[in-house]
Amino acid sequence: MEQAIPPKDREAQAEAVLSIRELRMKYADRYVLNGIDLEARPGQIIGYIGPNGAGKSTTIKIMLGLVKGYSGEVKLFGRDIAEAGSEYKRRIGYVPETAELYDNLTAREYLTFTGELYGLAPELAERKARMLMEAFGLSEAIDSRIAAYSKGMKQKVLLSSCLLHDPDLIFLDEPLSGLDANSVMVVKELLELLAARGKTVFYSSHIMDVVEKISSRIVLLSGGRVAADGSFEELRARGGEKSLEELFNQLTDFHEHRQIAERLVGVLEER
Amino acid sequence: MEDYRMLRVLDRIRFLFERIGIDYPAMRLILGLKLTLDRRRTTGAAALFGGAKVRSGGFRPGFDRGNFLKPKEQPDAAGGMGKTLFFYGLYGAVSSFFLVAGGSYMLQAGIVIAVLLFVMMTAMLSDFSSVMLDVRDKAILHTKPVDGRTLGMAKALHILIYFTQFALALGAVPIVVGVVRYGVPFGLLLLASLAFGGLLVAVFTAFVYLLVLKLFDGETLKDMVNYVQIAMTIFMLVGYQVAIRALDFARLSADFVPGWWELALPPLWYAAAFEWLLNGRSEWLYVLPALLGAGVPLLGAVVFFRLMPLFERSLEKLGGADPRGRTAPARRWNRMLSKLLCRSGQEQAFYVFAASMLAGEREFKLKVYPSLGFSLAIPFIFLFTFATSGGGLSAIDYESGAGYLNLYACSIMIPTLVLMVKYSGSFKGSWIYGSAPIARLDDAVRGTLKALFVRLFLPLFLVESAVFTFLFGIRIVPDLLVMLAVSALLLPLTLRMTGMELPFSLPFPSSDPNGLKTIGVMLLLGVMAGAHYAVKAYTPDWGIWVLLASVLAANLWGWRSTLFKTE
Repeated sequence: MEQAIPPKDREAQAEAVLSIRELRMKYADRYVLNGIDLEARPGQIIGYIGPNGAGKSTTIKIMLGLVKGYSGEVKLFGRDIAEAGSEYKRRIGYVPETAELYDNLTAREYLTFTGELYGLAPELAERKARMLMEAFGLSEAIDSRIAAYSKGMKQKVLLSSCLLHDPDLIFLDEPLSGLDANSVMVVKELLELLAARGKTVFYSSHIMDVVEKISSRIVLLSGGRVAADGSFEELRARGGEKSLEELFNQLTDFHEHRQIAERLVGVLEER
Repeated sequence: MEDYRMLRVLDRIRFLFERIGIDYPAMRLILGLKLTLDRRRTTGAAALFGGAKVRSGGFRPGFDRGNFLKPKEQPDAAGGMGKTLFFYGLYGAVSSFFLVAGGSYMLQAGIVIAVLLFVMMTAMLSDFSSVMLDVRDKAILHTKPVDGRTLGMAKALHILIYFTQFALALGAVPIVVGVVRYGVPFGLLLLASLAFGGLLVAVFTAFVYLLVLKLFDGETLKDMVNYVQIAMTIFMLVGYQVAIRALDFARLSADFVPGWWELALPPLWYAAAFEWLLNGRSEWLYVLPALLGAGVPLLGAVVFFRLMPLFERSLEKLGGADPRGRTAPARRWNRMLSKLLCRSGQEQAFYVFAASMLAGEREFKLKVYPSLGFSLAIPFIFLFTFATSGGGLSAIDYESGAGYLNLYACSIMIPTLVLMVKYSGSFKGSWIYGSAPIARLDDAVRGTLKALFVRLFLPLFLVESAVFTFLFGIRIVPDLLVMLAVSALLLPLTLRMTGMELPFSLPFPSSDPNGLKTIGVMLLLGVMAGAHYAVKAYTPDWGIWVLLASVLAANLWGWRSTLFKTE
């Protein structure tokens, strides 16, 4: 099966970290995912984009084993996750879209706990938690309850809990939400360093300029299918010299933004 | 939103509001919204008395699609509120027995009003606090073009409506009983007393909040409200038991004459009004308190409305969440115990996690601590009940009797604990169970159960054991060990009977759906206590050790067969 895939870039020789074939997912008679084929290799930062409801989060949740009932094949680290048990998750880090965590706990408690869930010894987990929080500039807050944190601080805790166990495959669902401009730069650099160390980053977002800048490869999902797959340059070569935002509009076949905005303003002026 | 009868009543006096410059439509809208929210809120009393809704249990190794981040319980229209009012009505009905008991007006009315005002007071501090201390208004309403006067009036009316409903539910039966037995004037006076008394309670509560907010921070107030809620539920469960036993009926003869010091008690203010207005006793001893009863609440209300802006400002302190965490020694202690009690690393992780969660979550405390208090008190209540029926406390056979077996009643908290631990206010955080490599969910449940047992049950049991050992002597220690083992056995057995869920993974239900499920476990507890008694009564001294050994063996089986299965 491996030979069938045409080599795309210089990482092609390395074994695929992630490989999805013919993935379909049906929610109440509607196909959210309609035959997705996807591969990712070490060192790639994949920007996973698409309109609301295109199935981005669903894909990620399927790969994490959070959503069952799909058809098709999902292989992570060379093994089919339907048969792999839960051990493969040890190599995965995940930041969910909604910043929900057990906020009665302090950051120290939460991070130690999640670290332990990923098999770290409690002492090591706590030490790494402390160091990560320190590096994020939150060492003062580490023993405060997360409920008292701002959105950005919670996001930093989620990022820490995602990275604490040194995962090889990292799923980030809107990881920058709530972060200030400086922290955004830190995270961008962080992702580049991680990719340079051979980690695979799977990055889902609606903010096109960020995706455009950090992704080594962009996968655009539309109507439950992969509508485009390639580096930003490759997409531009196909669609003309445009920004990713414009390419996004073009590929998802969306041109009515002006009309919709006019209609909305029209409603406001209703008397 | 529904059209509330209450609002239609207000529509009639719309002109009054408009005359004092209130934006009536806006106020009506806000009130309607608040009434709708009220109906969907869980109240302390409603949470205590179980509902009928039962959700099927079952162990979920992953998350079925769709339910991943959705609360499962839909708000049941009028459920919580109606149930609460019903139970307050019941309390009113119980208290009206004093009206048929005979005695002077002073006495009868005094007792009834004392009971009703006390219930009002506790309810005020618990359920009502969420109405009074609602700070969500700030972001939602204060950003809209609604003037402060209208908002203030909406809030005051909301409080008034809430409170009237509640006073009516509480007072309905006593007033009817009063009218039937002593005529209409009595009933009207009782109604007036409750109205003024209610106002007094409301104003008093408001001042207490204001004082606490001024002196301390919002967290102290939240804690305080939490403790009052707990105290109230314990009072409801235990209070009547104790009160009825403690009431010295001898002193309550027909010829009760109050001393002046007793006039410091507000319930007797209103009782004095009965003597004055209905029996025509116009000594200052009766007139003065009656006037106090009307004047103090009115004065208080006026002063409070003056202070309303100050109160609103103080409420801002409630906005922030509690920043306090646990101290380093507490963390080390948890960690040490986890290593002692748990085998695998993940089990230890869950032990520490659960221990912190149990300590930190207000809503969990509110729902569980009352039953802890109850199980702390109930062995003694049982002991005294059996004792007083047979000639007083001195009649208990401490030397060789089996009265200490009442301590089994302490374990009835265990099913509640096990059932509640699957809920959490931050249940949405449970995605972590799915995304982390948890190979054996059994580990998660086991660690959590152990934390429950050690953190919540054991301290209470040890206190009780110490007292009972002091009463019954060192001879009962082997029996205590058996009880401890039986209690530990209940943990997996409850799970077997009710089905497993991941800890802290579901939202708190608006009504407790598990009341019935625990009955089976309680029956089982009764059977075990019976077996224990039989062993003590019919076998020689070594019998207890055999029992201990067999309960320990049962533990081994119970834990293994329930919690060592899934891979």
